[in-house]
Amino acid sequence: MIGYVVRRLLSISVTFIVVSILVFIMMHAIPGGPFDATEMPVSEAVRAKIMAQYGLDQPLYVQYLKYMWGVLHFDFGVPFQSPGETVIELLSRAWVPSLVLGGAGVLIGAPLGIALGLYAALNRNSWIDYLASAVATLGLTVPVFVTSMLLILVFAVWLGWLPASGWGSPRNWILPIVAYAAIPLATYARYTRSAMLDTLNKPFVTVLRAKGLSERDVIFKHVLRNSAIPMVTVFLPMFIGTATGSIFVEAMFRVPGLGAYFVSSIESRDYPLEMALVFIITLMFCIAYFLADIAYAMLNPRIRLGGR
Amino acid sequence: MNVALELRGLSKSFYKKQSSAGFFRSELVEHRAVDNVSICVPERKIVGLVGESGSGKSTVGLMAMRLLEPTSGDIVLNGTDISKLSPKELKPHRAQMQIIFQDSYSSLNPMMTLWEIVAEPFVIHKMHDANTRRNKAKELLDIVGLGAAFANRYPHELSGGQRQRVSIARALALKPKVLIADEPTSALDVSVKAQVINLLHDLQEEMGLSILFISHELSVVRSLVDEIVVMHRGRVVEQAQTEQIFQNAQHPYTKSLLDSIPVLNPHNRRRRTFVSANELTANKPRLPKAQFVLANNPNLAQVEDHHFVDASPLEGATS
Amino acid sequence: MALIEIENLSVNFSSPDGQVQAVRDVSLALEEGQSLGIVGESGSGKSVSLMALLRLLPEQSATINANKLMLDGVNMLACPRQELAKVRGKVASLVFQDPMASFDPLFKIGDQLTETVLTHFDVSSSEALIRVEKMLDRVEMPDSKRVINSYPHQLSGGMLQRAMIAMALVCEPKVLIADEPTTALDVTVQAQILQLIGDLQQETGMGLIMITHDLGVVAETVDNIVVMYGGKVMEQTSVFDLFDTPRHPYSKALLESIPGQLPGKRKLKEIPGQSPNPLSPPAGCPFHFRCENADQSCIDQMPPLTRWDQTNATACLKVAS
Repeated sequence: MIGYVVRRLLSISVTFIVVSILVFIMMHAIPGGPFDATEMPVSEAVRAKIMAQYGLDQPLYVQYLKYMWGVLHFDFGVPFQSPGETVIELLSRAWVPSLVLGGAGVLIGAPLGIALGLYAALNRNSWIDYLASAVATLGLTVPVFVTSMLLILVFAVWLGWLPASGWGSPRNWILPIVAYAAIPLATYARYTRSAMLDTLNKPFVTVLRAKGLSERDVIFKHVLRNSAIPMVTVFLPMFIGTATGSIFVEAMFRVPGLGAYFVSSIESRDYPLEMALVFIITLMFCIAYFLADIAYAMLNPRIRLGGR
Repeated sequence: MNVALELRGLSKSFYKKQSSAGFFRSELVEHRAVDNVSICVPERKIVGLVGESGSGKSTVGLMAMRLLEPTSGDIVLNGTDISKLSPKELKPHRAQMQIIFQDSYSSLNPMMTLWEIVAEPFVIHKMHDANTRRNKAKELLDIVGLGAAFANRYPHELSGGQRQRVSIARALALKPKVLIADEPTSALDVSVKAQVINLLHDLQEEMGLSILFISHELSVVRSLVDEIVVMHRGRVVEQAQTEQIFQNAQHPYTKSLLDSIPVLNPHNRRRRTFVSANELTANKPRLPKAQFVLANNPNLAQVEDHHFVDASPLEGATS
Repeated sequence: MALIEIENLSVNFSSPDGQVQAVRDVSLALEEGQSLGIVGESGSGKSVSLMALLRLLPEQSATINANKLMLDGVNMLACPRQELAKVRGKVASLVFQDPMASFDPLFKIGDQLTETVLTHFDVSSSEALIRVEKMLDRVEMPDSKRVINSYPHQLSGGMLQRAMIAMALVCEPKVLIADEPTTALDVTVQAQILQLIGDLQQETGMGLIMITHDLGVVAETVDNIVVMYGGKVMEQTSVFDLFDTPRHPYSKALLESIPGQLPGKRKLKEIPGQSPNPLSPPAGCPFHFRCENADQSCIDQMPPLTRWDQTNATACLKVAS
């Protein structure tokens, strides 16, 4: 097990280096730069000075190595769009709304989705089952910005119950959280239902019933636990997947979170901020997959103990 | 007597990771799935290869087809050693040897009609035009007893026995000399099992096929094959003509296989005594002196004409 | 009072292609301590009949109709869920074909066996474990201490099937229903498991129903036989009569088609044709397509099950006349 963890950590480091090189190259390969004439009408001499100040006049590999050296010392540089603070300071500020939005969305959507999927699987072909399928299909096919717009239209414009955008008071939080919760709700409902049905069709479930176990024990002691194995492998990474999905929700509701800065950093060629955000997302995915693999191994004795 | 297919000293090792060696080291442990197996299928004969799960019998079949690379050993098909040929060189020889499997459902493409499935080998080997292919496919379906009326149906419309007939028709499309049949009747219902065995019996006679019939049941091969090879834990433990095995088995493992066949007569019920698998391997028959030992497998000793058994010769026996 | 009484049982499954008529008007009975073999091919309805008795068929798709469906005096048709759970595993236990798929892969064998004891008896878990250990000894489980602490994937098919039998018998049921218990096992292990089931039946005096496609299995284990085909009972007889003087043409044909009975290379006697389609079963005898003796009357009407004596009954117009 320890050997496995060490190997995984090594592979995560390699992933990081590869991602950082790729993003660094692509970022700079896009024509234009942060201090082009269109962005900043200043004289050539001033522009050259600014470029030199940020090290942008040096060859790309030097820039990359310097940047990575800084990263190793937790120095992610200064964001071009807000030179008065460091990237870390900006992120620790922007982190909060994203965490509230993403956390609340997942904490509301995931349990509801799992409950809906469970109920649907246990009552196949009932109206709840059809409702769950409809919710899951809609939630997976309708893009989040469409749901967001609908919510704004109905609750902010027509009914006027809630504000359409902003992040000042908890009243502002409701619509984006609801819009955001729809994603985990739909995906979790769908995966839970299919994982449960898979297990319910296994012969050992018939054996459990045949030996006289109550239906409650069959479901809660055996079926749920078996269904959890395929579920964790999907759910943990999906957690992060939905977190990045909040970019659109943040943009729609003008939430000053990570997502909003992700969009603006790309638009304004804010290299240091862009790199830092890519690192954060990569790190979250790596951790999620790592945890999912560990959980899978812990839950499944066949992996945990090896074959015969 | 000409030899259609000869397997000489085939071995296959699989390597399994053993992580108990430590946190960072993992050791590869060799597992010999097939250990120095030699089988000869004479022209126009049927040889039965019998063994239980884990005996390596199916691995032998796959290696003979070169669907799995042997670790060592030769495969001689109609006098040509095909074991070292490149995929390109192998292609013309492939047509001469075909294989059918137990699970006919997953080996038939569900999106293709039956005549398309049967005609596929023609497409792969770029033979005939479209019309001829279709006609030949219909003929083949007729030969295996399905009739041309089935030509436009799909695999899911058929029963297990009918599907196995389709895979046999496809295997015969290129007029092979050798057919390897890997448990073709194991998944079939009792009432159709005999149909498929009889079909193979007839096809062998009519088309002059040579067949290697792989099975886990001795009783299934009894009426069909000329010779039986018994495998246990990757090794040949006994080989002889069919009735020699049934009347005069020598190896304890062969005897236990025979003893396990249910007696189809309730008047003759009896208690059996069972020996463990380890005892079977340990208690090899000890022959006073092996008269003749096969050159390619020194473990096999001849006990009578055509009858060889895995035996440890007594001290002083010459080889 | 008979232990199992099934009268005029029919089971239909709804499928996208229509109603699958899996069991059609089947009656059978088992007295306490008796052994009965139900012989049939896949699709004959042999397993479905007994699964219907224990109400183990999926409720959404299976429709069960019967005049009588009694297990040890309990009317299984009108039995509420909690009562069903009390009967299952205690009065009647099941052993299935594939031992690897029959255990929950996430629990140790020992836990799954003690769970069965705790379901039916109000005992402590250490008391339950003692019963499990005793039962494992009775099924001659080698190395039973290790087996108790093993997960299913760590054991061989033969050992798992022994454990399965131990689990089925640990609550001392009145009848063991074994559904193709040896089909997935190696031939040498098959013989051992059959002998074990026979021995345990003798020792405990329980009833035994052996569901199988293999005539060899019933020849070795049971006293009475029901032969099923196309969802119907073709013949009821004793095991001796079945092998000495089979009456029904299907039983005869089955016996003759078994390979390996005679020495020498030869063609087997085969039964031509295929099993009937359960979506649209024939109105007449389901075997008429494949029967040498069939004539127009066999196509027109389903022959009734004609009783000859206490043990023998045949559903064939040609035998009756």
